[in-house]
Amino acid sequence: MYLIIVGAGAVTKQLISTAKEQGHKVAVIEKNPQRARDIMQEFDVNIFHADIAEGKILEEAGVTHADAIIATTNDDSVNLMAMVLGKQYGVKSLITLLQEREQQAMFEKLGIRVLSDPEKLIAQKLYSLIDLEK
Amino acid sequence: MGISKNSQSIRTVLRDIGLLLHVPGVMALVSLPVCWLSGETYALVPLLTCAIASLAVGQLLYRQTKSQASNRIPYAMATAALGWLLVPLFASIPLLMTANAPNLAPDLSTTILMFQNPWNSIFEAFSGFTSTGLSMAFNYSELPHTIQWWRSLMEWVGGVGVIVLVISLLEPTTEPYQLYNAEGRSQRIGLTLSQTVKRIWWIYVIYTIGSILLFRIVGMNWWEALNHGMTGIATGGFSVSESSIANYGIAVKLAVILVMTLGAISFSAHYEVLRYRKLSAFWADNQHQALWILLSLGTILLWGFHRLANRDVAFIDVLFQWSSALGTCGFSTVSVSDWDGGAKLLMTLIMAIGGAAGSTAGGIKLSRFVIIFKAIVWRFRRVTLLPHEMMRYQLNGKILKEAEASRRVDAAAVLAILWLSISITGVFILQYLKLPNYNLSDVIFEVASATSGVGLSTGITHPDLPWLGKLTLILLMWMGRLEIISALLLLSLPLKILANRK
Repeated sequence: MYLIIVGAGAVTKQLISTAKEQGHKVAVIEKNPQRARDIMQEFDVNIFHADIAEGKILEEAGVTHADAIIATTNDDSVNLMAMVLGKQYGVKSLITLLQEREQQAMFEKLGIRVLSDPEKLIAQKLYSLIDLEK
Repeated sequence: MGISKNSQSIRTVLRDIGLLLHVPGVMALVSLPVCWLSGETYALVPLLTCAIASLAVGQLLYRQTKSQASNRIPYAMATAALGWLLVPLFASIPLLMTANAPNLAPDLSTTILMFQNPWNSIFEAFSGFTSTGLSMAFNYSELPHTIQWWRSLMEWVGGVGVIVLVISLLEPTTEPYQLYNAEGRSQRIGLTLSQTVKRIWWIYVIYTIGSILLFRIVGMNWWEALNHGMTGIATGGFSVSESSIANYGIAVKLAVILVMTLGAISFSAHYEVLRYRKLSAFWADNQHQALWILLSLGTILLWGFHRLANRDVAFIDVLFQWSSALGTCGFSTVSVSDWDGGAKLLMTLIMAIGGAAGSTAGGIKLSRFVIIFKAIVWRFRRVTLLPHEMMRYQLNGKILKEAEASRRVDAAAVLAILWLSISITGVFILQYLKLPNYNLSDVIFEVASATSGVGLSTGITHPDLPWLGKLTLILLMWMGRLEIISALLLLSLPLKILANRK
């Protein structure tokens, strides 16, 4: 599979290493050069230094043969843009992180899989680890 | 005001040159026991003259001003370049005077008499301090012990650097780090520069003692082990045996190969190994990886060249000559003069590249070779890069910023071009001296050997070489040792002063 990841945050590194372990090809789009270099230091992946809003960047990254786009930035509007563009190119899997839960319905209406509020997920997982019987 | 500042700067230069001139003086004093133990009384006056002259001129220059003004980089470079011109001149005094001594033992061979010619003595001193190893002596074993020791000592001190020696003991007025840079070094293996140079000296002393003991164990006598240990780790290559290492057994040859290779490894890698017992430091960075690759591939290639030419050279000798050229040491076990042009050219290439940066070896240095090689790879990769795709500038496992990468490529390329330019100039001069029996490939070999401070010779270095040829090789050794830029800066100073006068 070929995955395009938009944004190079902490999640991205975990994502890349998992995807690489499974033998998938990965490209990363990031507009901050320092963060882009951080990724480059650790992983042998293609990195595009650009803003997703710059017209043809997804095309440059080979979106036509991409199997999935994963948006991981902290900015919902950037994530939305990535998803909408991905849909236009007909990418099968569109996945995004979401900060504002209220937007979830809108994203889902577009056929995008959403992971909203990652902190809440972590909190729930932590809570589930407590042995409540005692 | 500009003029007074200028003269102030020049005073600081002279003051620091004065410090540097203490080096040959103290070296001569240290050598007195050798003269006494070997009973070579005729060498006593020459050594004392050298000591008195260097120390007197040194003190005179040092005390002429109490200037404490620190100098800018160009002056630091001028200091290094001028110091490296004057120190060997003073160090040639014992050679010249011993050869001309009236009470010279009559049973000595003609070898020492060649040093009656000042050109030969000066050549030998420059070859020594630049740890090159080209020699005007026919038969090293017939030189007086004092002279043998003096040649080895020059290489030993020159190998690690006169300036490194001075800033580890004394305090020059010029910013020491600039002087350290001007001598062709940049690595730090400590928090401060004084810590760095002290560590360099400790490592150097430890390895020297180790080499001497190793050579003794594998079969040299103490005197040979002492001298070869000193010149081997300095990647100098002056020998005290007739025809260098040729007449020793295989154990000695292997031991010398080991020491020459250690000399081509940078002090920072040695520090890691000695201090933290991390043997992997010997191949952790790109330049040392290049060292091992070039060492093994080159040996096989050179061996193949000899097979093709139907020349019967033993594998151990091929390995020996190759590591001697790569480490810019200059010991030899066979004569290269009857090798064919292809083999000589191959040797010339590896001599040009030389050992690791931050070692005692000369040449363009492996770190620069690696950068230039990478620059070629990067250039091709950039062609295929998409408009926004980020370029991966990877060096020693780290990702460099584009500006940093291109700065390093620039510096390495400029030095390589300068190295080529001065070498080509040297080739033209030697070629037009119309030396009998030597063709162009011999001339190119000899010039590369001098510029990189190697010391392997096709035979052009000879007392019969016209003075212009000797001067050319002297200047090449001098410029090569200082990594050219300091030397060119010093040579350009008179022009600059003339231009300012208008």
